[in-house]
Amino acid sequence: MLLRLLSSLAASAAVALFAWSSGEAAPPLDAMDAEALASQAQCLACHTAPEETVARLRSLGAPSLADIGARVAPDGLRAWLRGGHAARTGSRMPELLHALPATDRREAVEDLTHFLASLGGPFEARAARPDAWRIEEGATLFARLACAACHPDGALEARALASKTDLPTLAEFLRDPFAQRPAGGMPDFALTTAESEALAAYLLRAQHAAGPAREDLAPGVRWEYFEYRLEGGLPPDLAAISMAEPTRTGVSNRIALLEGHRSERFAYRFEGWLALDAEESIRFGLNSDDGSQLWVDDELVVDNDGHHAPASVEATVLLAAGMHRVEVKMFEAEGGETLEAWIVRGGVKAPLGAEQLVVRAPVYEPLGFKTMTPDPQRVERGFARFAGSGCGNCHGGIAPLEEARPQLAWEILDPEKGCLADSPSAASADYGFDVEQRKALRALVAQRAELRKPLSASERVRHDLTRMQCTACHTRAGAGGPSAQHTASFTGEGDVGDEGRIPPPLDGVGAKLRPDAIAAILEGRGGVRPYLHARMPRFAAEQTRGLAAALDEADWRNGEDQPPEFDPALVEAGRLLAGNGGLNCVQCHPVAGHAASGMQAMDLTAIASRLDAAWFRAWMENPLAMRKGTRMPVFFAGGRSIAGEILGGDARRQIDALWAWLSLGSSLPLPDGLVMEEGAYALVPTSRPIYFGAFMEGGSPRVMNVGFPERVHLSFDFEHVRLMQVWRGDFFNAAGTWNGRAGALERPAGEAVRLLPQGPAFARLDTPDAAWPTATGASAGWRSLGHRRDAQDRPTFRYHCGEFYVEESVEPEYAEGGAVLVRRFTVQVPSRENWTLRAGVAGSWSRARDGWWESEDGMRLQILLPSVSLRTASGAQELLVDLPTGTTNFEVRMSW
Amino acid sequence: MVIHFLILLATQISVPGEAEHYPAAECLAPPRAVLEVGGLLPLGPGELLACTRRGEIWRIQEAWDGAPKFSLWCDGLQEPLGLLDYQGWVWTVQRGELTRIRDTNDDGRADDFETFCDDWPTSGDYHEYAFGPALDQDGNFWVTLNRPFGAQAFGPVDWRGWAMRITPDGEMQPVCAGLRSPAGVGVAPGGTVFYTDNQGEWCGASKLSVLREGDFHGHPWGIESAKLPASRVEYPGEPVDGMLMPEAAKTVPHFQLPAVWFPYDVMGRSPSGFAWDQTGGAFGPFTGQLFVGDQYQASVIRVFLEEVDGVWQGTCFPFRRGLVSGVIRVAFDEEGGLIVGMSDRGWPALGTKSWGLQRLTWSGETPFEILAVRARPGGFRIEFTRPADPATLTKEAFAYSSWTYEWHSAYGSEPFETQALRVTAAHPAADGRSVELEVDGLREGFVHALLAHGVRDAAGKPLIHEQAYTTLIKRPTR
Repeated sequence: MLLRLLSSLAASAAVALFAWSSGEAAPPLDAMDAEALASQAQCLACHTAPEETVARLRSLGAPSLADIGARVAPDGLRAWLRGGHAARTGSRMPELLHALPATDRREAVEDLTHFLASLGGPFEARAARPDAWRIEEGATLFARLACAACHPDGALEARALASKTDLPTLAEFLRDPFAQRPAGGMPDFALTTAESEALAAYLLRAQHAAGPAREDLAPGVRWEYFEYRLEGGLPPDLAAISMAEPTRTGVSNRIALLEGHRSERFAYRFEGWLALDAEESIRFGLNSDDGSQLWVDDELVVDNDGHHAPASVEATVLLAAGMHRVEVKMFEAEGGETLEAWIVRGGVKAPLGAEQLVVRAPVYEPLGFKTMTPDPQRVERGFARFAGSGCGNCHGGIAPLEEARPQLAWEILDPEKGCLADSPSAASADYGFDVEQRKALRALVAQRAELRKPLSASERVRHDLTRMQCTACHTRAGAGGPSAQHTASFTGEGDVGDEGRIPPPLDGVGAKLRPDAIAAILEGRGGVRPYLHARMPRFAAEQTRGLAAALDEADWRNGEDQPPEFDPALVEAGRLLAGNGGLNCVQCHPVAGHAASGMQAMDLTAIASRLDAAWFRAWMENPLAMRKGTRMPVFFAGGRSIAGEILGGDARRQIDALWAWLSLGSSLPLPDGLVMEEGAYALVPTSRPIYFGAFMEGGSPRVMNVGFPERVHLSFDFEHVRLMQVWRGDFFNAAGTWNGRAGALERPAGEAVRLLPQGPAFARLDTPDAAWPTATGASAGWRSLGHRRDAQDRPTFRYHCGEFYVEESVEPEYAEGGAVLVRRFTVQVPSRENWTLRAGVAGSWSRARDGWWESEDGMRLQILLPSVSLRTASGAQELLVDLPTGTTNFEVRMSW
Repeated sequence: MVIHFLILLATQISVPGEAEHYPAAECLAPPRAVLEVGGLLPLGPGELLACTRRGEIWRIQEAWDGAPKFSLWCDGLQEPLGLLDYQGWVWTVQRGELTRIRDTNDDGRADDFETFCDDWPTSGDYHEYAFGPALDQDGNFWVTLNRPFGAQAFGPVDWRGWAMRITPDGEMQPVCAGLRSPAGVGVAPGGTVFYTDNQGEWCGASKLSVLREGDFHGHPWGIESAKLPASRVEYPGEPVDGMLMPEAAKTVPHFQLPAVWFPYDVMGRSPSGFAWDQTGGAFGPFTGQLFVGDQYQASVIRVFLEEVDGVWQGTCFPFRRGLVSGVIRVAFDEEGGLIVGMSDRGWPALGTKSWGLQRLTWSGETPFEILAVRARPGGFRIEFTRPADPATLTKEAFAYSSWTYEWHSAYGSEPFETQALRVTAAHPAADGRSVELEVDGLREGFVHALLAHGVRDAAGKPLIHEQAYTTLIKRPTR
């Protein structure tokens, strides 16, 4: 049944690229390994070659040297240049000064060091917080993210790193590696600031051991957290709470409730310094539950004290130039809690935190750090050497050299000479290749005609996976995957076996995943395996361009299978099958964030948008054939389902039903048997709609929300007398309305929230180009009459304006890709009154082939009434429906 | 002595004798039903509707049999804080509207929700509760509106802190101003409309007051609305911060003193819903009296009211403490039980639970209590639920003190002008069921606190509660 061809690439030894060091005997290398080696060595940075050869041998590039002097300490630069290959673990950078006598060589290194140090330098260590706990966190993260799969001798590197740079610089690189490695030599792991700082602290831990050089100001706020005891009732205000002995302290980037506070009876004190160049009038604001205060230089500025629900207070203060101590205190008595602090400067509101405030923090310098003032003469000589040696062929970022071109044509190279000579000449680069490597590369050059052939799809895949080191974590065709030594460092949450800790094999992945899903994963938008600690990084776009298509081509073979046509009637059967009365998928698979009853495997809402339908069928029929050792059970042995009562136990129909249900994605109706947290505030419609009244952000204090089991939902605003918004996925978390004194402005919990146009849904337009009215609700004559609920608890809203009466029923309807909402109107239009419905407003509307209207922002409307017209008003297009007098029934379907 | 006793009582969680005479049964809800009760509507034996602060209405059957049956009648209302059965509809007040609801197809789920009146505005503030409805004898609905405390996310609005009368046609009439946190509203069997208010700024002590068109109850929050055309209250002028209540009643236009003040902590801190005992004796000897819940104290307070020259005034008595959570609503059922609905969310209460539903019944044994305190021209007539030993009804058996409160912006008022009063004579009735006390120094507009510490019944037992707090607004002339 499986119609895809699994890659038939020969297994070969994985090349742990960054693990090898020069001189080490390497195993025999085949042609593909030789191509990989030529790619790492960046041969084509210097040699021009035909287009196909360039494509085959493309590389991850070298670091940009812009501002290298600000990022690396002079001694770090010097050691890197002087130490030869031995000092450059993990790098393929060649030696270019190898032919110089020792004295000249030392001079050359010194000149280059001065030149590089002058680029953005001098290096100056900045304040940071490599606390012991942060180092520990970094060590844990280093292990959890399986960094060692690519960086196996981290300890060695750590020592070298510690004399090169400081924590803020390294953290910046980890957070945004493409800034310094534009070609993507290091992928982007989407590290948070805290994560990047922890990793940097760990990698530079030798600096912490050596102790700080001095103190300086660093962005941030110092915090103290207090858990107070209840003595004589709840404290009425901040003054009643002793802030003498904090329970915990630390430094953070923001003034907000930090993780790990208890739910009642706690307090916080934050402190930071605000530096002003000139006198300035500054507005501060606090929103808190319960009380809070903001003090500047021991003067109370914002007083939001006392017991209360979330409440905001702002105040303006005139501050002189200089440093000002800003202090925020907050306490929580009982019930809900919140804290926001902001600052308004020059009319711009921003959160009050590390962007504005500084604290005193220690400065750790690179080991053995000595300042160096670049000598202008050496800088000049260094620049000449840099240019003359062709360093700029690989390294960008140095303005005058940006145009440096490759010199020698690849096609005329002598495989025995130059860089590949037994002893490379002065004009060549010395890569320190070992005998095997040299042999393989010579063969590659000698048979270069082969390199003019375009790569087949599977060769292309192998090249890409090798170059980007995908194979450090993933296997494909028996090759790659974590080495025996590093397998144990891959870990995961819970008990999901090896599937829950080791990144998935890529065998047949082009047949398994839709190309857009592969592209999303490569762009760092995968994230369907939260139980894996290892993290799929984002690669530079130029490295992955074309890979998804190559995978698709490499793994695909034509066949008769087409995805089953969407059949709304199968959705309920699919839902039942997924539930604990069917195949009990919910035993292992969470759905829409609701926990499975046993282990927590992949969330089922993500399945259909990723998987190829035919692959899904093959997987369901025999999972073990698709993934060796999988824990996925076999439900359909011998073509018979273990759930015999549903759809007659027919395997094919059941799989089709599951697919129909899964294809609704984030709006699939929830199956039975998920773990719903009792007493939590999440509102999850399962068997029938849930109604929830609340104060609604962007609406009014009188909004009724209706959540449907079909996982599309709506808000109706009784004050503005109109359908206000629709959305998909989760319905609501009611904590803001049900917890404590509550009264928060609510917003939907789900996704794809679509606000309907402001103003009334219906209006009387005196002329065809009269502006749509903005006033709605009672002041504009609109009155709600209430609503009705049908036997399935679906709503009909009833409202009127004068003698114009509307009944608007809204209900979901299953459709391919996700349920749509159907608005069913019954309107009574009095004679001599012209009423119009504004069905939609968008930048532009167009009519699709199926008759639906489509907006440029992805809203689709089907209007079952002939009198639809389009007009442009204030820069947008309005989709209008003119209503005849008398009673009219019509429908508008919304899909988005 | 009085002060000492007050402190003693305030620290007591339950008083011996209360639970013996009025035991409580509890209705335990299934996990799905969070019964933060906002309204109660008894339907028949063991059956009732309860609306909750989460916006649900639950139908409960066999509530008191240990295995209650719960079914959700509807959800999605906004903080409904009252239920009323009228003209085939269930009426409730949501934050922004008076709504009537019914189940047209009898499938056990409400299906028709009509907006009867939504003319009062809300600003999106948590404290803007709306209480009611109470139905008066002319078919009008009464709704009381809290003032906001905090965010007012959608901007300040008119009419907060007002009592609204909504006519049978749905017209909203703003009839009284100056309310603070009017958590209970109800109509007496004789037709007078009462409400309870919670002490705080401009409300020196928690109280029970008559709602009468045109009156100002002292809180200035919403008084600017008195200048609007729809107002039926004359603008009372800028408030004077710091004036004795009796003085304010004389100088501020239409300033209304309460019928009953509930002294802070000793009687409670936050009076809420109330109900008249019309059980004809099924609930014990207090027929015709008023039972008032207190949220903080998780208690029920008893109130005796009398009308003197057209002025309502009365006496409050401790009645029953030790309920499981803060009492929000009370309602008598047809079988003579008092159903108590509770929630402590947002405002911590005594009691062991966050919310609950209980039912108080009378054990059948008459508790030895002060039944009533009636104002006399020169003192008070004290009546008992059953005969006292006439020999103990001496003037030494009774102690009186009195005080009033100040009208001011600070939170709550201490007692002002406190005086111990001299009981100069006691004239017991021969049957021991009452005694006429002559008391010196009665003052109108003052609380008169009684401690009947010397009274004993024939068996030598003291009263279950020896204290009573009479608000004397009008001293009778005969």
